[in-house]
Amino acid sequence: MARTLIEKIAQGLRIIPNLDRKHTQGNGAPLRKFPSPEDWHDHVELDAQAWPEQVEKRYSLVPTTCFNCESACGLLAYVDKDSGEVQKFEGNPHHPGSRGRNCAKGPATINQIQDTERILHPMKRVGTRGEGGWEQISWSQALDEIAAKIRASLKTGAKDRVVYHVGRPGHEGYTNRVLKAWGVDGHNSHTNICSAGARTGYALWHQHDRPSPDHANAKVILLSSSHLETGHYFNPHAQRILEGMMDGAKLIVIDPRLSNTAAMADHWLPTWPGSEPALFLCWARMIIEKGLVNREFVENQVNWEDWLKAVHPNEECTYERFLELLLDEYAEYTPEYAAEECRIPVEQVIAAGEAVANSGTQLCTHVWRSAAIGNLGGWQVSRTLHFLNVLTGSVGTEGGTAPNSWSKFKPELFDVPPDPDGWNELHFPPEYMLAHYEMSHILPHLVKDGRGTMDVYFTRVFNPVWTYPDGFSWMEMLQNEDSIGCHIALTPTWNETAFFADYVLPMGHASERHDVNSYATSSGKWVAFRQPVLREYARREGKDVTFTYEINPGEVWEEDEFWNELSLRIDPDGEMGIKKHFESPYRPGESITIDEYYQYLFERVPGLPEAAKEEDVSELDYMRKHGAFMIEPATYEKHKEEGWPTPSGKQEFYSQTMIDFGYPEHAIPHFKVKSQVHPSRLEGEDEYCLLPNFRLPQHIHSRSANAKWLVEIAHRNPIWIHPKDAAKLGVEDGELLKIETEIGWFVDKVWVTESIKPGVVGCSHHIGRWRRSQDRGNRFLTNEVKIDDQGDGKMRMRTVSGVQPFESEDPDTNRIWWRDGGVHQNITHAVQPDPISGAHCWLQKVRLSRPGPDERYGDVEVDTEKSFAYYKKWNEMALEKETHPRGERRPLWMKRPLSPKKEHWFMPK
Amino acid sequence: MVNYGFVIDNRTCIGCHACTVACKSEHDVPIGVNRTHVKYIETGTYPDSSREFSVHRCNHCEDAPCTTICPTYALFTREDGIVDFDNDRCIGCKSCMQACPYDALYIDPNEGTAAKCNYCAHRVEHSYEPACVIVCPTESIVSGDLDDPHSPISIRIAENEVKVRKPEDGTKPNVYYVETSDEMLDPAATAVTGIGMWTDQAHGVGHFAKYADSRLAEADTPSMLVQLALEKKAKAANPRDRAIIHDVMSKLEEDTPKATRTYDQPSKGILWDGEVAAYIVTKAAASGFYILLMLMMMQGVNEIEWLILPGFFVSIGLLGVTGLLLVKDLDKPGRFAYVLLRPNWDSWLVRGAYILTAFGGILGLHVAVSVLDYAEIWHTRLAYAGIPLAWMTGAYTGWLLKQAKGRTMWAKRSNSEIALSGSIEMLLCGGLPLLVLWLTDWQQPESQMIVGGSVILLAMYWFGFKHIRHGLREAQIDPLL
Repeated sequence: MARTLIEKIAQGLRIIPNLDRKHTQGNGAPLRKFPSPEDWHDHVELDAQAWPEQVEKRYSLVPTTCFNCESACGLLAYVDKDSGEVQKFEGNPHHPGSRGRNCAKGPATINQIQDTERILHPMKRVGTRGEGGWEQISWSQALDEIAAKIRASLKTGAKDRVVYHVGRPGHEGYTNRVLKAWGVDGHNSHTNICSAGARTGYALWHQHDRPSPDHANAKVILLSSSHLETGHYFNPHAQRILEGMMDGAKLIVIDPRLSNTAAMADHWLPTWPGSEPALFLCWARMIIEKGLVNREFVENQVNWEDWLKAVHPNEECTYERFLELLLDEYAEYTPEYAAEECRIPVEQVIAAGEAVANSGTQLCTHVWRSAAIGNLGGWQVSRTLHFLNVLTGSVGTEGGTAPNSWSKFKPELFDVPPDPDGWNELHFPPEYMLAHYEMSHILPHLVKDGRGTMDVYFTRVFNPVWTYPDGFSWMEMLQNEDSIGCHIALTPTWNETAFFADYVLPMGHASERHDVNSYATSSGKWVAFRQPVLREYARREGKDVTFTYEINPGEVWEEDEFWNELSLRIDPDGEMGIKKHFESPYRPGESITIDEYYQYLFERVPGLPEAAKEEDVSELDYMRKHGAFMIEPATYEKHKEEGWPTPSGKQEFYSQTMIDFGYPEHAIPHFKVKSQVHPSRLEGEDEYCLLPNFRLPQHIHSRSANAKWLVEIAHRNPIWIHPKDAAKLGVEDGELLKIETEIGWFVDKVWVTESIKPGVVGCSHHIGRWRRSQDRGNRFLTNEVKIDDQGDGKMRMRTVSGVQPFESEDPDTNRIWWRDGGVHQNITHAVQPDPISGAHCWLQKVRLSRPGPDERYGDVEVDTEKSFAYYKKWNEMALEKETHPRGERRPLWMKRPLSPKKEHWFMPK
Repeated sequence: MVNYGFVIDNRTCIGCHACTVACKSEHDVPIGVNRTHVKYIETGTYPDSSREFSVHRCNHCEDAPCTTICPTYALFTREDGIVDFDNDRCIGCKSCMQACPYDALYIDPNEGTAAKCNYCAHRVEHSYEPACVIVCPTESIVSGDLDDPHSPISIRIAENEVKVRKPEDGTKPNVYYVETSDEMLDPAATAVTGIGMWTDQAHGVGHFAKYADSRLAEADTPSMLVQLALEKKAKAANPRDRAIIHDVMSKLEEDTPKATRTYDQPSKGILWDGEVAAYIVTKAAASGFYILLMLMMMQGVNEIEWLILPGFFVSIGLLGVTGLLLVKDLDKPGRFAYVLLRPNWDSWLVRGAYILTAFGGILGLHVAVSVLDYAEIWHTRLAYAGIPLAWMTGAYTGWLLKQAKGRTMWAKRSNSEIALSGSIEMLLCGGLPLLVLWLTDWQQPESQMIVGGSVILLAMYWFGFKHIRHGLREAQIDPLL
């Protein structure tokens, strides 16, 4: 209303526009969080932009799941009924993992959808691979050409020359089924730069290779990770960690860097990287010494008798004697020893140890990447950490730590093709017998070493050129058409690896694709449905959609349908035996549709048919409507029904497998392998440990450079350095430092901070994205670089310009207020494959100095010949130990993704 | 009626920025500006170092200074306690940004109008919680009715020790913090390290985003003063600005060596700069010239008789320039008339505009008296009204600045200080030139003297302008750091 007489008159005389409008004073009713799902197709909300004018907007709310990290938190897409486009994403209150809440990456999904630079159509390279020329092609052309290449490869009988290499999977079993149908041992993953170290340590105990802590009910939460900001599963875990803490749980965080998580901790233990097993074994010793071992669990669930019989055959085989001998065995792990190894005060070791020892069955522990993926012998971190759960009897208890598979739903698929009839030695080379996942990070070196090549190589939401260590070796491999016959990048957004592809095929973001998700985010077991929301909206509106790309922006497709269509074109008449695996379970002889695939799957989710029946809808429709379903609210103590899937049928304190495979010194949890960055391995004053593998709460490795709201929060990655070290080197905040690795160097700015352990420097590996002048995409976060091949494997990358504003349909692109796009550090890292777990050991031994006169911010130099030689050195460690008991390539009881037929698990005679 | 507020529970805030992004999504907030953001600070020395996170936003103050200073009621407090805004009324004068002690407002570069957190009033209307509340992974943002003792928000406040930001400013903020440090709440309590841990501001945002097209080649130095200070790149600034930056930096270092700010929203820069400094000079000149001219006329100083009519035109001209500068400073210049036609009488911007207009009217009448050859006495009669109006024209900006509670250097000035400095400005800018004209022997003018005098006068204006701009910048830099 006009506030004054003057205004009233002026408006009356139309000198100024009439702004009289219904001004609300609010209705005073209690506020709620979400509309009821019954109203989701007809939700009315007032337009925030038009406010205070009350303009009603009508939405259809469609649930889906986030695709930015692995957690797959629930999202609710607001589809604007007038424009038919997604307006925003909120949380899905029905999702049992995320419970309606999200991290920054959830709502930022809309940035990715609306990215003005996204890939909208299939692209085929023009000119040589990596040169940067592209032409738009049709999906039909892409499918036909790629199918022909795959068909030709399969017809040779090779089982290892068509490969699917996945970064973020985000699905359960779909592609493995496809690869099996093709009959190839062609699954490669990113796991051995990520979780392979931790997985190995866990698997040695009980085959299950991931932990699932029940934080909400814990008494002590012990994290060798940063789950209040990153990691699997950040948002769901952070919710429950804080719940536990508000209920009185103590938080202990082990990290050489003050992470946001460490900042929230009751005890922050800034241990020297790689020393963690010393700390955990010291605490194990404290538990034994104090008589706090949980007898019921240890006596019955652990194979302690095997150890006694094998190592102390003359001793009485009693539980009491076991504990005495155990204490002797671990005598060396005193608090003083731990304090010295970790370089923290002994009082801190004891104080936190007391908390752990007294946590009873309510001890939550977690290590995911961090130390377990950082260090040579990093698998010892998870092995010794889980030991604490074993001793306290907190395995699988309420408030304890369970195997993740207990609360992860494994879908039953409509057709299970036979296991591949071959073994891919590029993925599982024989010398890495215990490698938990594929040896993906040494792939370029294996290829360079003449150990294999590929006909068709799919990289899918995977960017090794940038994310992996030694990116120049990846570029070298990808550019060599003799090594890789055809490279296809399946990706929602341009990336450094896609620049070196033959085909770049646009795949959908979170709201543009089908997937089924289930993750161990708490003690409960759930299943969630990622669905293309505009397709569901079209269905609600009664429109037919055959393929998801019809409703997505441009011709953005989804892998599920792509694989189906591709498979049918590989074997159009069924002669190769592939086609039959893509036939509908409901309509014999006809091709399966995406709806049938998921209907079949959801019909077999325990409890879902009943829930669907109650609402009088099909299982698929139930999931379309709610987006998620809770299968089991709590999955405690499953071992009481299921036992332990190990050779001994128990928790394997004593591992015969390690003995058989040539590592008798690792028969029981110990700290026998020292890290490559152990202080004893650093020489001289100017050698430091570089901590390069930490993440930021608002970024995704390679897929957030297109999210402007995330990028503006973080766009540079300076070197964290303690003030004492900075003073020693004579650098101040913002000044440059040259960081030399084993194979090259990079120049970065420093961030002088009290938040890092002296002697250690840190650098987040989320930032430092780049494109060459001929490349496109991601300009919110890419520096323009120039790459020079200086011959003899010497590669140089120089930043031509930082982030620059640009004109587009989105006015924000012209408002970019930062220029600093950080530095690409991973490319200077040497590969360091752990001989046991196969994991890349991320931590780098570096020399620090002031850069020379011609060395500028963002400069990178790498010698790929050096990197190959360095790989050989580390490979030697595995080769020396290679042994195949009973002819086994690897322990038969351990898991392998996409397992070939059992006969291939043995070395060829 | 309810009384909405927020509790930010720092016991559980993990600094994830989900609220920031959810808010951007809800309101389509352009990059560079924020309705809510998470500030990070680091305290202590290793290994006792720590990091704190805290959500900062509009405090929905009970006595909101932004609503008082807003000339057009674009900002207003609703009965349910929400401080809302209507951007159709906003003229982009940026006074609210000067008045807010919490730096909660920004200029939306899409609209050129001010914006801030409005408690998602459009959601509240349908009884939904604000977007930041529902997204928060740890439920650290609590919304609700502060007046209902049984509401979760009231219980949270009752059961915990809470603090508000800058209680001493008397704004009665309605955002309560559980477990937070003074270093976190007080922007001046953190040493500035120059850059954020993850960010590095290279260009202006919000009001300055409109320079996007031209800024590729060069940074707009005045607009980026704060940034220069932040980045310790003062060497690139001109000497006077360098001095301010130096003063501010050293003061900050003295006060607060203990905490480091590692993340904050981008600096919005100096909002009132050259245009404002220039119009302070032009209106002081218009007023001072007129006042002295009238006083001399009333004292019967005959030598200035020839100056009376031209003198009115000089003042009218200067007032006209003042008006143009005022309009130019608006981010929504087409709406300049709203100041007069949608007036918020509490705002000194409105009072000033009316004073200026009234003074202009008096000057017009003087011209009419002269042209129509009315009796001399009418000039004297008009001057009785004109002199106080002229003086107020010259001086009112001091009270406008005083209303800008976010800028302590202005807000703390006393009425007599304002009156005195206004009078001095008028005397120097308008009075002195008149005296020079009076004392010049126009019968035998020496060209050297005229030229010399003009140069001295121009130089004086220039330095006066620079001095005033310096003062404006100084007051605005301090709280922004």
